[in-house]
Amino acid sequence: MMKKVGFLLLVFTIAFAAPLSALTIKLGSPFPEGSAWDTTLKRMAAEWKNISGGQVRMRIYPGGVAGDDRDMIRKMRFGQLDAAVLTTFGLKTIVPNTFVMTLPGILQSEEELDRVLADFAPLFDDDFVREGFRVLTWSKSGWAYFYAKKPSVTTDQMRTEKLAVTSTDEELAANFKALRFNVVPTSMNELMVSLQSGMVSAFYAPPMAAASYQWFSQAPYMIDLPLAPVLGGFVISERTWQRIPENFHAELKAAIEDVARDFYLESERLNQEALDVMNRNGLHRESLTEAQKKEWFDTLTGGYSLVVGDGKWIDDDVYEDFMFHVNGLR
Amino acid sequence: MNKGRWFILLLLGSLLLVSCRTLEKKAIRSVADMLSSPDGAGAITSDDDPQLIADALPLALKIYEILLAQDPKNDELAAATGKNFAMYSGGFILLPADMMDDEMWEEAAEARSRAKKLFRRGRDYLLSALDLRHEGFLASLDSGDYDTAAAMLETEDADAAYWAGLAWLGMASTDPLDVEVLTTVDKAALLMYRSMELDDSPAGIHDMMIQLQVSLPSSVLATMRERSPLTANYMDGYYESAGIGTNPRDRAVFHFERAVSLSNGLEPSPYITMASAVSVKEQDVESFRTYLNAALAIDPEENPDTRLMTLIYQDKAQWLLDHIEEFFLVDF
Repeated sequence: MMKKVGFLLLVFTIAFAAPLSALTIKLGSPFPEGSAWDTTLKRMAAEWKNISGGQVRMRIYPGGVAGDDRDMIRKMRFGQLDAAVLTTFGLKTIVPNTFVMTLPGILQSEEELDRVLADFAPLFDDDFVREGFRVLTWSKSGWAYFYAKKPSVTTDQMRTEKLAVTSTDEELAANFKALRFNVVPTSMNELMVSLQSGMVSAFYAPPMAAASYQWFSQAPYMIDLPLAPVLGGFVISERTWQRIPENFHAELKAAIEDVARDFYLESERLNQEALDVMNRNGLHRESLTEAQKKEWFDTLTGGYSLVVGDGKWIDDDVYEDFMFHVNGLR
Repeated sequence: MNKGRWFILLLLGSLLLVSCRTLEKKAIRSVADMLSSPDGAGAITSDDDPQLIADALPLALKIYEILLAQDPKNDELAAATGKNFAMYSGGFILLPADMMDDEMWEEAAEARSRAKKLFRRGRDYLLSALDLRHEGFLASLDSGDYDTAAAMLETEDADAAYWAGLAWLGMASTDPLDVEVLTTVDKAALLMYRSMELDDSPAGIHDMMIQLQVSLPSSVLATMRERSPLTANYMDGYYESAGIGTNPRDRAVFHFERAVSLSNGLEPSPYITMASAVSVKEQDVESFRTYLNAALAIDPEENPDTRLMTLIYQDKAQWLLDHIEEFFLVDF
């Protein structure tokens, strides 16, 4: 009898003393290793480990080692990767309707963007879960602007430019084509050479990219009109999320939202630094009158027919709900 | 004492002071020459105790700076000072930071920030050395007149240009989102290519070229090529004569083979560069292991002149192998 009790005690002791096996989450990130953004992810990994008492660990694959958005999504579907920092293009690959939030000209201010991210973005949560993913947080990192080789303030002036649109972004290219812009599909790697050779004469990008890749040196006229917000998100596969004990979910999510705020602040700083650098190196910021701004927004918002509608990227009802929401903010 | 004797004493005193200063300057110059000579550098690079050098270098760097402050026109000393700053920053600050566990993110970030400052200091000394040798070099480089700046450099400048480019790229690698630095990195690429044009026999230049091909955004090289048509011509001719096309990977492999051949296979660095820059990018575990095992198989005693760097790089190679799961998505 004593032997049996002793054995049971041993079993219970082992069962309760041994920690639950740690879950290692493989996270793919496009952020360069050693960058401030990469460091922020490492800080988040440390917080996740603390919150979960060491049960949830994170292994970060920085600098695009895990591939681009599409690669990372595919690897998450296979279970080779658990989580990823995705750009808006990756997010719309999973749930195309999310594209509505980054349509050129659809949002016109930071305040509108903040409200949309707080109130409208969560409406896509179920769509992501149905696809096997969960967006733990959305992040924003500035706005894209147009840059051109010659002063181009109006839409008609921009239509005379050869506008580079990334070749992976067919929907945006279609959208701009519908608006009668002269679209030239161009890969990001070839943009500088294309600008140098005159194959393209305009592009759009956030200031950070325009400065870092020195594209602005070829097309120094920047239209001072926020064209579209640069969004991203921290996505985890639903399968992995459900393997994490539920009692940790709220705190882990809070930690990641905290990180998203840091991303945003760092992005603001970097975009401002980029503008300062470009200003010192010959950037011309073309101011627009209110009438010109209105003309731009009217033009851009008037050309969604190729991407909105049945069988297209964005469902009619989603677009209408979104516009109802946005108009309520104005 | 009459006025005549006072005058003689004053004259003698002045002469003594002048000769003391001359002697002091001569002494400084001779110490500086010794430190900046290959023998001086060899005392560091041939050591077999990386920790000893890590501990000794900060003091040595300050001695270099003190000597340089006394002899600011000494271009050799300026170049040696810059080179040692770059070496210390890369080998003893950045490399250990790269090998820190992710959980030590704060320490790693601090180390990177420090490495950036030291790389910057090293680069500036090296650029000033080139400017001392060729008046107007910096002005041409700063103003974007790349061809004029590059044309001023001669064969004797190849080493300083290489180290200046290396320090510049090192600075960018410590903080990959520093826009201010990123917008100038094409100048580092210019210095690297000009250095190779002047002397393509050191293995180190080819090692750096591997990185340049696979890590630099294509826009950086495109910008440099546009601003320096002479360098663009040189690049095209160089690769064409070697039968290499425009594919960055092909060029990286070409430079790797050149680096291995020029070092007689005795330097681990090119293998590590290929493993971490190419194999990881292509998620090729087998080549990763092959390169790193080749780096570890090198006997540091076979090339005593580079013993220190061999030991440091082999430490890195072993660390990469020990942490292979952090670079590849496959399960081990």
